[in-house]
Amino acid sequence: MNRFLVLAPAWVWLAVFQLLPLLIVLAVSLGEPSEGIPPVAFRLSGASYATIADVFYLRALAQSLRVAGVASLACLLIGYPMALAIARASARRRPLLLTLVILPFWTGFLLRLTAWVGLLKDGGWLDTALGAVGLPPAHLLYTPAAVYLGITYCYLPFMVLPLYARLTRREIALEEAAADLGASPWRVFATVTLPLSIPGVIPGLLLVFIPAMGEYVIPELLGGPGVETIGRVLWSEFFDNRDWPTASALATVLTVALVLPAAAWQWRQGRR
Amino acid sequence: MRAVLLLGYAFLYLPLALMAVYGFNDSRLLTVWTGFSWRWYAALWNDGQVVGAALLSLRIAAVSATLATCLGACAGVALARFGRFRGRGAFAGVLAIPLVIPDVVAGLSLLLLFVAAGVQRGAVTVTLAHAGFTLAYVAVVVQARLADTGMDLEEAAADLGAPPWRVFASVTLPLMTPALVSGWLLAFTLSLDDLVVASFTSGPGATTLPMVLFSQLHLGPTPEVFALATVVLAIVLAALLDAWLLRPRVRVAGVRTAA
Amino acid sequence: MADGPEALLLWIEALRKRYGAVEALRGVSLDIAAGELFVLLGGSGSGKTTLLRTIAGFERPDAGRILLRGEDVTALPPHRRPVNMMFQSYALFPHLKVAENIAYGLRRMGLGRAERDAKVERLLDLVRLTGLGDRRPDTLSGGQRQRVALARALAREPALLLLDEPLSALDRSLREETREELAALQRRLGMAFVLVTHDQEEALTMASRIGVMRDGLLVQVGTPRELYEQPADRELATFIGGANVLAAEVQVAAPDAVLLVPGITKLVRAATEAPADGQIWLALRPERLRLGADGANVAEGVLEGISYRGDVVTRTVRLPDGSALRATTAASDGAEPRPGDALALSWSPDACILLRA
Repeated sequence: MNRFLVLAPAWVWLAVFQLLPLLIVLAVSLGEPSEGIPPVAFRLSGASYATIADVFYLRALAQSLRVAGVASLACLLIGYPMALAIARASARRRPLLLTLVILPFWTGFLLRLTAWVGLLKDGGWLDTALGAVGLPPAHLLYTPAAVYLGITYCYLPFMVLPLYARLTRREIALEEAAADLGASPWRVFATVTLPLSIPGVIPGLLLVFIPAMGEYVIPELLGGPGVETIGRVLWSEFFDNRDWPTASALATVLTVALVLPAAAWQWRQGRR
Repeated sequence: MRAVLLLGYAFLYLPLALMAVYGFNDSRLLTVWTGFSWRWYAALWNDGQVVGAALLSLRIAAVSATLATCLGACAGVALARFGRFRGRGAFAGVLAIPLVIPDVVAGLSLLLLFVAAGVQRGAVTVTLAHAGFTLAYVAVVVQARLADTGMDLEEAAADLGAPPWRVFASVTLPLMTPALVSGWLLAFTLSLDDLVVASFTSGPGATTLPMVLFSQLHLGPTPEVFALATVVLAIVLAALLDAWLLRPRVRVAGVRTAA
Repeated sequence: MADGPEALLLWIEALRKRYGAVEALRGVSLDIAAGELFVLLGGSGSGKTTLLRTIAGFERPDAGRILLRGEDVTALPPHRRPVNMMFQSYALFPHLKVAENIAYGLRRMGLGRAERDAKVERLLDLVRLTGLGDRRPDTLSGGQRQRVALARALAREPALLLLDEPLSALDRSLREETREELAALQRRLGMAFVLVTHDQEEALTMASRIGVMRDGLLVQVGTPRELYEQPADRELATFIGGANVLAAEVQVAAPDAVLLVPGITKLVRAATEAPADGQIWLALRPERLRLGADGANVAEGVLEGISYRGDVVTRTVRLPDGSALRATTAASDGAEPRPGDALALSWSPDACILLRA
């Protein structure tokens, strides 16, 4: 059947490159570190899971939660007004305004992070500007604040786009009805626009929070030793300690906690 | 409202603007302006490592984007047109994984796959890895486009005697083209941009541009990097301008949608 | 029908179709002869569109058969059926010109290039779009697009043309004009049309026969006159043409019925038999009620409301038991009763429509 021809390559690819790797990660997490190549001995032991139950890893998890949480919130606080402003702009302007939001994304996030390093480092642009006004330097690089800024900066489009999509579907008639019934613009927003836009907030939050939880690069470049997130821990376990089982255990935990719920939700959506 | 937008855009563009300006800074000191100079652009041009890595990244991005577009289009068509086929839920679920998975997990899992398969790591493995995680994005774009255009046109074609393959070739494919183009571009950008997955799945002799940049950044940014950023920004702007001017206008039933 | 399935153009037998929990078609049987303009009339959710799409081949029935010219096409995919459809949204290919749209179905029909082009030109003339072959669909008006869709569907000269709400996207003034054009075209071509609509005026004016659908079933099939003068139940009586419906009690059942109707002092005489038992209803068309007590049947009440429409006036008379009768007369009748006045309405026995359901 024609359908088979279309589905089969996709299924094969997904099975090999999506499901199989995750299963292998699980298998490796149940092994133990060894001196050979690859540095794993398959043993079916829960040792690595015992390892990651340690307070060090839990603290890293807490750190990740905090970072992802603050950044998601910041993205929401900045992104929602922007999405609303764009949705309310004239239909002619909207594509341009949207493109302007996405444009920085196309330059590559490493380069954008470089800018933030330049901004936030000691003696960098921010400190120079503060000094010019007579304020003390902020010394923001290698602090959690720098990581929050960095993640917000890089993930903002992921919040703006789904919000925008939802807000452009809003029923103008409902808002007019509310105004007609005596609601001030603020009340119209709070009681009509905002509640109706919630279905757009959720995907935005998920698209920011979940990847931010596992972020490596941004905390690594901007965070310094004080911001040891799960992503960094996984990386260093793998590359620096060559402890594949522990890294795999961390990866499995992250997958179960973050990816499976999202995939399951998408599975339910897909069944409809 | 306008103030909000301006502030938001300022937030987004100020860092880029600063980089663009300081890429012309004569001084080696990052943030102290001493004069206007092209030297960093010259240094960039002569920096074999950066140029080589850039070319490699471009090649990998082009190939993986093409691969991702073919597979992602299949997935998108299936989800948009095959109704409730068997395993649709599982298909959609697995397809969604790369959209939410942290890249460290993605990178680790793919590296382990290649190790288990005994495959030599290098440009090929990076390409496959990139195609793997970008195809989901293409699928989303294609599915959205097909859902938007609806099945009417394809039913009309079938009603007029076109067998399924002709319906696909003469109606579905032309309708899908804008989505294929933007999907390819999206996959291309994501591949070009990726650091973590490439670091995990690459091998000796296959260093991508992000990898080069990252190792340099660890030591501290140089004005050369600013110059590079500005070059990239200029290219992106030029490409966008081209796309804007030349964009095909696909109008469906009187409703105008610029592709 | 005396003819068997083989002799008729379209024969539908006991079609059932279910979507999840919803039964869209609950056992629909129908037959259509060549040259008919058959209208499927019904509200949304009645199943009329599902039936049309099943005939076209876009839906597979769960049970039942469809025979086209004697051949069982139930399992045949749409591109192999000698049936063509004009879509409600027109579904014109945006990336093809008008002429290319019309020519789309002509591939693989054994026509040479010149023949095809000539045919397209003839079709453009037929729908009065001569010279517009090189335009793109999005540069045309709604009415023009509709005609392209029609020409395209006619190109393959199907045995049966299906039309899905062809007039719903047009504005009022265009609708009437197009209605007449479509009917004239059908007569000229002698092709059988099956047209789906929710507009009963459209159905009455265009159809040679109407099939009314409700909740997945065909409740009545007949000519417009049959449906108007002998509706199958109260809902149909009020759906087509509007009617006054009153519950009644049978005093004499045959040969001509005599009824006792609450609110009407004099017994009502009908010109037909009444069913011997069970509840019965009396339906009266507003335009069959005359002002004044001069008639076989008389109802007396108080004039409550007047609705003036320019050509006709509809007056609502409240009867003593609380029920109301609406009477429609020509505006030029000169009568001037005012709300609050006593008013009698009369009608003849053959204006009585007796309904069992």
